[in-house]
Amino acid sequence: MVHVHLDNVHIRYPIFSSGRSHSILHQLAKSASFGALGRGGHNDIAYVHALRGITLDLREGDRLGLIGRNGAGKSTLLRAVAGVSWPHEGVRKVDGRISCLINPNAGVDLEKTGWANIDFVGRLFGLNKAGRAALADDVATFTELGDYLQLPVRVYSAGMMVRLSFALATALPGDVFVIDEVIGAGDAFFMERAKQRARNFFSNAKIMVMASHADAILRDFCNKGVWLDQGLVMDYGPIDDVLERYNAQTPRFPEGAPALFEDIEPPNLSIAAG
Amino acid sequence: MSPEAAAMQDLTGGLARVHAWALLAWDDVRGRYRRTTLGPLWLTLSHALFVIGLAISFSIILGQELGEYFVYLAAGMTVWIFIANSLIEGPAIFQRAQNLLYSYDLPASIHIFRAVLGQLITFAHHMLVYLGALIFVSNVTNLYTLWAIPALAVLILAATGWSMIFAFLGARFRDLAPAVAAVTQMMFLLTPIFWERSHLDHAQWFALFNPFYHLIEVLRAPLLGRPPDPLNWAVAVSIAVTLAVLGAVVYMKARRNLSYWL
Repeated sequence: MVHVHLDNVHIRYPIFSSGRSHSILHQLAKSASFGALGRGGHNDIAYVHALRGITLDLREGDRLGLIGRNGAGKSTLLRAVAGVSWPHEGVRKVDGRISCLINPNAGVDLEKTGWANIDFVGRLFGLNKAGRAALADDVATFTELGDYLQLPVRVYSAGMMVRLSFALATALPGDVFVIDEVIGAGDAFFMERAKQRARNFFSNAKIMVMASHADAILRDFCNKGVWLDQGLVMDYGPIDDVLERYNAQTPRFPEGAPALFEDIEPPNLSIAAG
Repeated sequence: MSPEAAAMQDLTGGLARVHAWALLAWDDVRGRYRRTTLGPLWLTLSHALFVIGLAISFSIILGQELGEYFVYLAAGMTVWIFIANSLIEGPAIFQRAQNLLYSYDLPASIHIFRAVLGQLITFAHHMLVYLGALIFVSNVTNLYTLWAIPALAVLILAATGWSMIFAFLGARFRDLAPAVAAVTQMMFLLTPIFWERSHLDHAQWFALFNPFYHLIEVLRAPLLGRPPDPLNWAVAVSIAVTLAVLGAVVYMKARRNLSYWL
């Protein structure tokens, strides 16, 4: 039974603003002199209270969209669910394997070719030879990168990179899929494929958590919504209702989201065709 | 589940994923020599040239017999470089693995074991120089040489310990890496590696109070066919066990903060 449970989760990011707070010599001098040497100046670490008591309960079939302005805590919450950031207070409990796509070139080695990257990830998760062949097949079909798979990933365009990481993250066996808005970098055609793939992925009862500023993407991919503001849950419910209430309260596109609606092709894709 | 229990699970779960850290370790070694003809054999070649250069000049300076001194260096330098590389790599372990740590649902501890195994793979390549010394210069091995096996296990335990400690401290404190590199470099001169303990004459304490001497000597003595010394073993085993326990404690205390330090 796949299950994600967060109970009163708090996360505070330490801000190491001065060089001193990063210095072990400074800390040692401070401890050795019982604080006499470390005084004066801003050597105390400041914290940003990014999540302030989040409680969430996700069951099989839940596809949650995170809504909120920049700095509301969306990415932090994704990291908390994914297990990248451990909560400072509260409890996180996840039953099921997580696959996540939080940064666009997630775990991809730029020096290796596309094929080598796919094989490497397969080995990393202990797939046998047949499993790795199936993985390579699946990723190649989905990404349609063709001959590009024989080239080092560093020559890929941003959109190609997203296709590869998205395919890798969704091809691995996983029950909980955590995704930041990186898929916005794909073109319209890719978005259509990604939607299809996500539907297949979730047809067998899985959980997804996604953050995005684009209403259309959220409506397409998600069935539930959480509206975050300053690390607190403002609203929770079916995605359409939450979006409606959010949009009524917040000026439209505070961070220039319209660009995501236009079918902008990354310029290098035309080179791929030629 | 308490954060400490979760950290313990992270540590043991990582150890169990042998295929993951073995793959990463091999990839690290191969990646460094990608697009070169010799590949990781560069490790062997550069180590051989270094030992030969050091042997020629210092056999003259110290008035030692070249062949005997060469074998001494081929054993001692190889062991020292394993210790030194592992220490210097320590603070960078998690910083280097940041991308993977943020990308996949894998325990963070695989990067500790990956680092230690990577150093072992390098050590194995360097050992070819020692084997060459045995074949072409003089075969000093005997039954005592079997002690090299438990001695290597002691060094691996110690390396795992300091890797755990330095990996977390290095993520939190950015000046740990240059500090460790600087101190390690100095210890190379203060430890009987390219000179012998017997050169100390009446100042034996100078080596006996140096923990690196005992760590090196447990493995070097059997490689040179010398009988094991109880003091070396007692000190080296104590160091290794202390480091391993301390490393596990650091892991349990610091694991929850890792992502905020990177």
